[in-house]
Amino acid sequence: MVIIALFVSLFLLIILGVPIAFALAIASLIAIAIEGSIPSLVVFHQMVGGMDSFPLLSIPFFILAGALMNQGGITQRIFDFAGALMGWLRGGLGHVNIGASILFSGMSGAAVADAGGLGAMEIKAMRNKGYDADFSVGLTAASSTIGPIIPPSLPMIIYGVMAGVSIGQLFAAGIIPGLLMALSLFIMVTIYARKRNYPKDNSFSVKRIVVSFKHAFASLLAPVIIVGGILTGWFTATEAAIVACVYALLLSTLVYRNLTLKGLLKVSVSTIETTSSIMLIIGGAAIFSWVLTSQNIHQIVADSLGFAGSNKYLVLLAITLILFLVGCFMETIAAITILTPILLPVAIAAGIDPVQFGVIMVLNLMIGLLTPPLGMVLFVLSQVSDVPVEQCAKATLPFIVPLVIVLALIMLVPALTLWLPSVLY
Amino acid sequence: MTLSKASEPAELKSDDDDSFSFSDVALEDWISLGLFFLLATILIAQVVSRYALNAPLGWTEEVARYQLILLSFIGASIGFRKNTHISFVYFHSFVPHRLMPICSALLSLINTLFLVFLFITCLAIVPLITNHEMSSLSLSISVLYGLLGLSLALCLLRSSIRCANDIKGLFIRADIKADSPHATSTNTPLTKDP
Repeated sequence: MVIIALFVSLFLLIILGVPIAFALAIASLIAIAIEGSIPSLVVFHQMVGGMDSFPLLSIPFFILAGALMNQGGITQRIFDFAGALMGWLRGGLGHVNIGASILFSGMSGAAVADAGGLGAMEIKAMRNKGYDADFSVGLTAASSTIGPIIPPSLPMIIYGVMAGVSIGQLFAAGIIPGLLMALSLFIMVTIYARKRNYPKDNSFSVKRIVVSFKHAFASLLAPVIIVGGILTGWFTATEAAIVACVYALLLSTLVYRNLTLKGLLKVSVSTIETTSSIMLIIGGAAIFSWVLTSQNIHQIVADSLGFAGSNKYLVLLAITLILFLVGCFMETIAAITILTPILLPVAIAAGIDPVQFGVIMVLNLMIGLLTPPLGMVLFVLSQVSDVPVEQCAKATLPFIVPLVIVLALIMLVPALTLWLPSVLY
Repeated sequence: MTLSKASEPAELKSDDDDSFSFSDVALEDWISLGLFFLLATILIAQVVSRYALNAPLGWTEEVARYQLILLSFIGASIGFRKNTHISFVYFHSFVPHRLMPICSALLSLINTLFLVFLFITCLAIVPLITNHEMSSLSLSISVLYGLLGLSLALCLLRSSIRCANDIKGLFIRADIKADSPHATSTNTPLTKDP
């Protein structure tokens, strides 16, 4: 009864357009009022408690680093370098799109930020060269999900906090799956380019590659410092985020001279707004998840997944279906905060490694970002490309297939996620 | 090689444009900017003290954690002023044009009422925890909740101004019985126009 009230009121509040964070907290308050024995003070106390974690401090600084890199011209240089490297292939800009996403993913941690910054640049370049709107938008949507799989990654940080798993290990685990996603998209673009006879955008030139590499060198060091620093254990995620900000700031003010004080204040205010939105969602999801726990949701979920027995793959399949459904309807961060404590024990009981499970969960929810009705990446791309949301969704659909194949692979082959962390840690 | 307007980090906001003027910056923006840069400084100090000086500062982690929570609630008041909190208003495109102002007023009323609840419970928590000290500083946790209460008051102020305007707009609109196109947000599926 309490659980039904919780979900129904959450659903209604979200449909009405109440901010997600408040929808979660108000639904919890309603459920607590129905339950009757829990003091309402717990709502605010649990919200604050859920926000109180050191690794969460990396959120504002990874967001700021990404914004500084867009504002300061670092993203553009990386895009140009990817263009020189891969523009000579058939369907050149399609490959460039994926390549730039790989490079950029080493600096940024949120698919939505990738779509809004780099994605806008990619779609504009592709449309200018005469690529179809559908192909440009669909590919950009799919490639923006590489960002949160390759480190750094905000969803993985939040999963790590919720699951008590080392964020360094999670980051290492995401590298191979992220590259596999890119590979599967490369194959897809090659097939499309043959079939539709897309142009080669420029000829192969060693000189162009060298020139653009020199031009982009300092920018390319950013992902090396961030990813390398975390993987070698030099920095924690939060420290890496700070270092990334300082590096991006120095580069864009002293070297590229693209960033003014006004520009810095502007990106800072927008970073604060985004951060507080995300943090409040984490707080709201914390009380929501607390209420669910108080109603023994774990037992209910474990019982209803009982049919799978201890068969690892059946459990994974069932969890994937849950994650996919939830991912279609719920915001990523809220989904991770709420679902990790519920689903992780089931997964561990079935013998699934928490690190592997983290990558599966994040990739699942990233695919959810690409599907209607609540695909955030679709909304952002629709805004930056002026293509209607419905059309964006349709265009993205074929590009989900390679991502689902990669998801199946990392579910079936644990080594794809677990080998790299075992070597590094 | 500056980026075009379209390639700004749109994040989740739809009203992100290139115009930035200091007149748009309100009190809470300056407070949160100050807090944000202080937070960055503290974390840089932590990195430097750990790696360069090899003498890590004990208090930075805890203080930084509390600062982030405080920053989140002060920053939230910017969101209530500009109406940029992450929400799904996609379904609003199905709401008839004329009912939209009522819907907006209802939303800001819900936000405001819930903020009143949070504010009251926050103040109620303060006296219960005066004996709990922070682990690295000899300060009571109630200091944090006191500051959070102030931030919530700021959120409440911004939200009730919006709410009052929305409700006032409702009556004015009823008077002139005219559809005002800017009151709807069907063209921006993610968040509403301020």
